[in-house]
Amino acid sequence: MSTTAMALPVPFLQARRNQSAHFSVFALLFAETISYFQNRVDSIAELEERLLDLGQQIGRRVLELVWLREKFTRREIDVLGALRFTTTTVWRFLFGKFADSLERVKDKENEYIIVDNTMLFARFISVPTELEGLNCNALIAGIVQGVLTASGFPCRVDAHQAPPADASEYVSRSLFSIRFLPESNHTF
Amino acid sequence: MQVYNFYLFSRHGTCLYYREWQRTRPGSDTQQEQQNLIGLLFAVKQLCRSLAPANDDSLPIDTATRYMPRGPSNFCSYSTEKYQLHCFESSTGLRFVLTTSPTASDLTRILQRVYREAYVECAIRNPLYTLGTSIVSESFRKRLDSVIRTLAVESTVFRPASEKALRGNGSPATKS
Amino acid sequence: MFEPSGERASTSQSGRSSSATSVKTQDTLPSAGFNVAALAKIGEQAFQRGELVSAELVALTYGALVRQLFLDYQAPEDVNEELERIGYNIGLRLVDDFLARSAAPPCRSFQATAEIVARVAFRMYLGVSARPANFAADNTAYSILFDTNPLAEFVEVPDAVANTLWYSNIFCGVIRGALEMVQFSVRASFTRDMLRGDECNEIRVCLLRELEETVPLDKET
Repeated sequence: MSTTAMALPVPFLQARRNQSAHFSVFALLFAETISYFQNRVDSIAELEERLLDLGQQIGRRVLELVWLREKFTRREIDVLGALRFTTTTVWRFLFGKFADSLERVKDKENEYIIVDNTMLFARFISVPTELEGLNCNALIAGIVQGVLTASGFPCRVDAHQAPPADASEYVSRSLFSIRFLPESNHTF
Repeated sequence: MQVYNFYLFSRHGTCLYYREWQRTRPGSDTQQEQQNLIGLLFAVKQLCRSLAPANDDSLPIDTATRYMPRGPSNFCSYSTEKYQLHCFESSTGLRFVLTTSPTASDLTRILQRVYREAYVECAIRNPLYTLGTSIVSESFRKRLDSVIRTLAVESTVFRPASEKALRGNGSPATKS
Repeated sequence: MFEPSGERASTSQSGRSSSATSVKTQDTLPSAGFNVAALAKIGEQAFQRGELVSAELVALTYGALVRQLFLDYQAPEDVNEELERIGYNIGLRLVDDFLARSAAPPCRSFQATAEIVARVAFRMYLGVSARPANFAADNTAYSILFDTNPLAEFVEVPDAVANTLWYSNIFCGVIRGALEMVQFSVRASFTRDMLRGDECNEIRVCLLRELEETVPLDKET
């Protein structure tokens, strides 16, 4: 990772940190990405898989960028540290806030869940009946997977939806379940 | 004030969304009614344009050769003794139509809020919605209701006409 | 966290002054009757009011999409075309978002669209300042110039495709789609790109024809 940073041209490192774009730009880019894939897959599972792949591409780069921006000098050496880093620093980079909670799945050694109550995407996506079961958060799941895998903890991330905690809310809660693969069960 | 019906028409004149809250006299042929309504709105717009004075000062000079002003019409409502019809047309040709009991106030702002808070939020941004098709989103209905409810706060008669007119089961609209 | 920096506000100042010199024709009507400062303010306010995401996230997502297109199409010409098509679909939707949120004055003429797109839309959505320039004498074409391109933030185009790929071609599609919805059929294309070493980005927008509203026929049923 450090070699990548070394090779970067100077303007890159000086890039404005606080540059931001309107949310609609991202939402519509995301929408068109989905419809681009939609014409090229046969099943919903395949569509989610393509989104996950794309997310991983993004996630790997997000990790490097966050490291560069936050000037980290040490890397996380255990699963929990990497997860905390993801739910705080990475989450803030992506969404401008921390994730709402990080939980360990009961009776499972290496499974965790990240919960976000106010995921922006969940607010405006409503899935028509012919695509029942499609979860557009697969892209975000891919980003999380990309970040963790690139940090040295290979895992599989799946996105789920849960009804909102408060019935008056429109937004359903977004869950990301993370299952670490056996080879990530090591310390550096 | 009572709120009766809401229509949303696409730029090509198809009805994207229809919802009734308090309709005491059911329409005989909904589809025909919607077509008549959009026909009326188009006709009014044409008429408004052709009656308008030719030299509109608000227009840039290079459009002087054009015989009609472009863009949405500013027609916003008509009223009869029984009801009032409010209309808002976006620059892209979407038409938001609301019928209420006769009221003196201008509801364009409310319809603009429907545009912004319901249509843009729940249709435009929804990757799984195809433009120009009818809207079946549950969240669109909730948002539409919540905007309209702000109108009807002072009125106790605001409630859905019948449960079967609603999609889904729970109806937060009754709470007002 | 996502506060726009003061630095960019100053770029917009310099951008405005240079636009005065680059307008070759139509000196009497450089802004289609609009107050340029007011437009910039509308754009800035809409930007401040909106929910913001990291521009870098957008850049990375776009980059991943372009990469995917290269895997699927290979030929850079096809990638350009597909990016334009994706942009067009975005434009069809974005225009409603823009009209509903920005409080920008309506585009009553083709020339007015130049001001609105460059001064309000670019600022509102990307936080960058753009300026219209090079109006054709008969008002059927103009250019949009901008110096900062958030999409190309991390990009270096490989030599093999450097002269064929227009990396940010999605912009052209967005402009085409958005203007079509307000009844202007246009063709938009990049003529200069900083990724190719030019001194600024330039998108040329040419009016093909003005569309008339079609009255629906009631033969459907």
